[in-house]
Amino acid sequence: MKNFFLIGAAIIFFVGVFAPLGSLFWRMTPESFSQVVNSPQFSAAVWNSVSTAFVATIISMTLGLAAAWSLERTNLRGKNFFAVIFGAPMLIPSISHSFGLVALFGANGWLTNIFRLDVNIYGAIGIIAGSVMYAFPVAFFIFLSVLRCEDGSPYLAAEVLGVPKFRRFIDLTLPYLKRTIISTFFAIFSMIVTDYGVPLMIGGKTITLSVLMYNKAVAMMDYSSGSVLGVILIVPALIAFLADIFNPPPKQNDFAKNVLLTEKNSSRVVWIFCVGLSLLIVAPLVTFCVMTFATKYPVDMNFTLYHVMRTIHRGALDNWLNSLIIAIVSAVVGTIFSFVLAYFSTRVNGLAAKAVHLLSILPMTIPGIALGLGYVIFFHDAPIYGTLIILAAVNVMHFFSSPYLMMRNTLEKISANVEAVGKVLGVPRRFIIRDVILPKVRFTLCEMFAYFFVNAMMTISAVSYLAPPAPKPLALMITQFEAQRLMESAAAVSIVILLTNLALKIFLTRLEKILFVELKR
Amino acid sequence: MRVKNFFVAAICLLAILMTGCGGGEQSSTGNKTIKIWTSGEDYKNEYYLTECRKKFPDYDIKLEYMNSSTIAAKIVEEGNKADCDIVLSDEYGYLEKCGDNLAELKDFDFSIFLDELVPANHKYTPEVKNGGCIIINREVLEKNNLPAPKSYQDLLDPRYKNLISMPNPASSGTGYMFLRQLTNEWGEDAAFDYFAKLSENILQYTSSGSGPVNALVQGEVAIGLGMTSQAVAEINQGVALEIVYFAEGSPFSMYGNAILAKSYDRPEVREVFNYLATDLCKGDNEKFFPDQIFKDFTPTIKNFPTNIHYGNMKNDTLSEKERLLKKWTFS
Amino acid sequence: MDVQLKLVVKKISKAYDKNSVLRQVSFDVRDGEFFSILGSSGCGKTTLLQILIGLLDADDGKIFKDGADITALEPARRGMGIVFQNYALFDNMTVFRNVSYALKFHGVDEQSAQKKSAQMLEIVGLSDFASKMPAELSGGQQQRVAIARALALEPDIILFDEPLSALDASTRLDIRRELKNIQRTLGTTMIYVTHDQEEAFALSDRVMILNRGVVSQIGTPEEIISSPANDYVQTFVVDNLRTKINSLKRFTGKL
Repeated sequence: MKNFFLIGAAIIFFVGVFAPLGSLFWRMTPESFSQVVNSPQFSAAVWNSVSTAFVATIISMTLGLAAAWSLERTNLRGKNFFAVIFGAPMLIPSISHSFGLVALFGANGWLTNIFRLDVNIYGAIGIIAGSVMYAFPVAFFIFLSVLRCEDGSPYLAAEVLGVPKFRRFIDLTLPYLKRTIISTFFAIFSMIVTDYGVPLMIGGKTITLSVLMYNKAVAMMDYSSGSVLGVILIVPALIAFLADIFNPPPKQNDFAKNVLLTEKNSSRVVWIFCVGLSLLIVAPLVTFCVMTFATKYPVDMNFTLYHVMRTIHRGALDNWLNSLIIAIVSAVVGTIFSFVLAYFSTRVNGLAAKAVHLLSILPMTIPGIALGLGYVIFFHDAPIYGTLIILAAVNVMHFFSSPYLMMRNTLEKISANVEAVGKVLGVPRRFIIRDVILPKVRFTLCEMFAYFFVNAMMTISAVSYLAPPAPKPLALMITQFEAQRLMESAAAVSIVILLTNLALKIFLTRLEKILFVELKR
Repeated sequence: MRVKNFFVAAICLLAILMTGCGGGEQSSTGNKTIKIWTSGEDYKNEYYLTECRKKFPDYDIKLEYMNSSTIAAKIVEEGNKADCDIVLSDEYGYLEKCGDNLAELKDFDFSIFLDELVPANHKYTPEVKNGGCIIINREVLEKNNLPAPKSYQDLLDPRYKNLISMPNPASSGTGYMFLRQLTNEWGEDAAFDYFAKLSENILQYTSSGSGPVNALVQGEVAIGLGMTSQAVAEINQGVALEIVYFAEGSPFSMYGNAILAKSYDRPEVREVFNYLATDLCKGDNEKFFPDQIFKDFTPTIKNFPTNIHYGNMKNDTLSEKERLLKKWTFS
Repeated sequence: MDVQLKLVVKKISKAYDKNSVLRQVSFDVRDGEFFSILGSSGCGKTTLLQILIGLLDADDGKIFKDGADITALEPARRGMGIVFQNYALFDNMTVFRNVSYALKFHGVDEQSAQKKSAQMLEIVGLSDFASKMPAELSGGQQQRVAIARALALEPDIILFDEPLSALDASTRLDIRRELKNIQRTLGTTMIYVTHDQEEAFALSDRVMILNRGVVSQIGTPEEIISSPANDYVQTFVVDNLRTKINSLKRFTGKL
């Protein structure tokens, strides 16, 4: 049984991850390597990528920590509201954020016009700002959950000893967060470095490695140069992965929390900060709505459905359906698959479980644009090529690790003796899973489902190689609109993606509420 | 109980979705789906798609936009698996590049076109002559207190920094034709030297030839190296753009339509193609690209510049293009 | 062979990698007896328990129950029940369902299952709590549910893995009393794993002292105290108990 599982998982990971990745290496020739590395754009692209990603990572982490701290350690009003707003940027594709910035700060953006700003948003500044927009919520949620689990007793002691608040933050909070900060830094850095959406739209002449790869591999289909760049882009994620292995973030254990943190600061500054941040986040979204329905933004602001109709005419409805199917299929398959593997790796002892765990966290190291290229090369002659199935498959593999870790985290909190009791009582394992384990992990299942769904809905990385010939997901229309600089349609599509993801989130929240009532009953 | 209802509702929704798509799948396997790839501009695609759907209401006609280079690259790479039946409006050079995958149009009457525009291998039909020009947005210029440029040299003025948009020659045929023409006019070294300097003033290289005009319309830039026909279309819609020509004249390139070899045997594909390549093509010429293509048809368009001096476009071959683009490192 | 022997354990050995955890452990348990396995943490007592119930396979050795070899038998077919330190309740089910859940897998019809479960809850004194969720109960009550759950299948041996370690002192005493009661009324053989000398000596008919995977001594509490087999038993058991008693001596007469 154990071996059957291990072999099954190994085959899936081999076909879904390692073989495509291998074909990436195989496609890379010494000539293409030296050609790419010696080209004049390359060294500039490396510098641009590293410098912008570094600055954007630092800024988004600082903002994320400040926002999380504001929500967790102050008596700020409307925390739930702020949490929703701060999470909103996670629901739209990265490239949409740069459209938003252009709408606000571009030469003809409305903030530029109102305040007569003299800024050029194109270039490094734009890349950094756009990257911060979409990386900030990730940092925010990581810090929020870690801060939430911090034990309050040291703070109590510090308060009794008369340690000032600021010192408590420096001497207690920061050391507690140290490991989280390190691993979050690497994770966000590699996430920004491998994203091409933001720099493509707003990079101006500042070419990054990811844009170089996009231009070579997606636009010009130069797969050998693309492979070289893809392999290079794996490096930062690999470092993030190793950093995590050798420096694992503290295990979050709800039960370990013995003293509730009651430190409640109140300050106008916190309020102003949160409101300001919310405005910055909401402004582009509002602009998208205005752009979608204005006759000619920002010149003629009369209401019209013209752009909506044109966007639909360009196939937005079909593509939205494609996206919906892809998202639902990846979410269903991905959730089941990651549950099965997480169950196996936590509830079964031995080497096989460790092997499965290692396999399951490896996809984290492979950026979407590299995995997608690997898929094109490896699956080119397979029957699933050019179908929705391959898009769903690449999403499942690409986004697999995070939901897997969510489930693993939950399962680890359930006593291993539950299965032992089942064995002794003569209850088959499948019934224990059905009647005991699944009811206990249902909220996590909802979360995993949402993760797969939302990401499948907004990803433009791996899928950009596969569609067409595969049916096009909605988010990819934005890259097409970028090429033609059709801002109104890009805005309309971004809004639709946001609304779809929002609808899913609301659906799941309702479901969770009902499940909770059921549990009480 | 409520949970059950919830799940039943969710499953019903899923089922509806699936059947909805199933229906879509059926019609696409029903052989009446025709997929068109085009590098044409948005307004033009709109026209073709609307007219086609009107003429052939029973066919499921899909139009997919891609850069001119991507279309050729995808067709070469995917071969018979390419999800495309008809190529609409791609540059001659790229059509040559994927010539092996295109059908010879044996039944098509090429004599309706001007003879000099017809390719020897009869694999694609002439569609439009795409001319380039310099387009300015005077409002933006005035906002920055700048005069309109009078020559290519003027564009190097540092005061125009970040106010100029140009398509990326590596991905856009329109972008490439400027590079080609100036290379012919000034010699390769002088031309590349010029673009290196111009690059300083460029805000962003757009992937598509229609990018600069759209950026001009949005007021993001003041000057664009773009397509005459697109600029005219915007002007006729009431946008305050102006077209200027410099002494070197207008660069241009030829665009054509083709059928993929694998789809040639499907009568409905040929039917749609014949309609596209003749009637709609004339309409296209009448609305957007008035340069003469058909022997018996001389369209005119309001506000379209007349007596355009077309520049030197010799050596516009694929091998030359690939050679020049290898040297292009500005985007 | 003595007919009174319920369980005979012969030369059980177990090693993880190269670390030997149990070395040739042999003992036997009489029918209806309260038998404790006493040792400090890491002595191998939990591993031994898991081997007895069949959750782990021994590397070597045999286990006989009522004269039959059960070494390779599945846990559910050994006629044994188990109670864990952390209760391991099905906490999404009511107290009643926790007890009745497993019965349907043994061909018990619904009506008998209901009756049986009610009876078991009565024994552990939780009849009033049948429709509560485990999370609404105290630790001691939860452990009682676990005991009732184990009893429902009418095993003739129940194994306890440090069942009282997580509970407060007075609850511990209550449950100890109940365990003795159950042992007497139902005649169930009980094998009780603990690190607490006082608990083992107060409850057991016989105690086995395990040190680093080796049996140090088996005997009645009186035998062990009067003649400890070696230094380990002397310090770990006898001296420890003496210290405890001495520390309480100053209260004698005052209570």
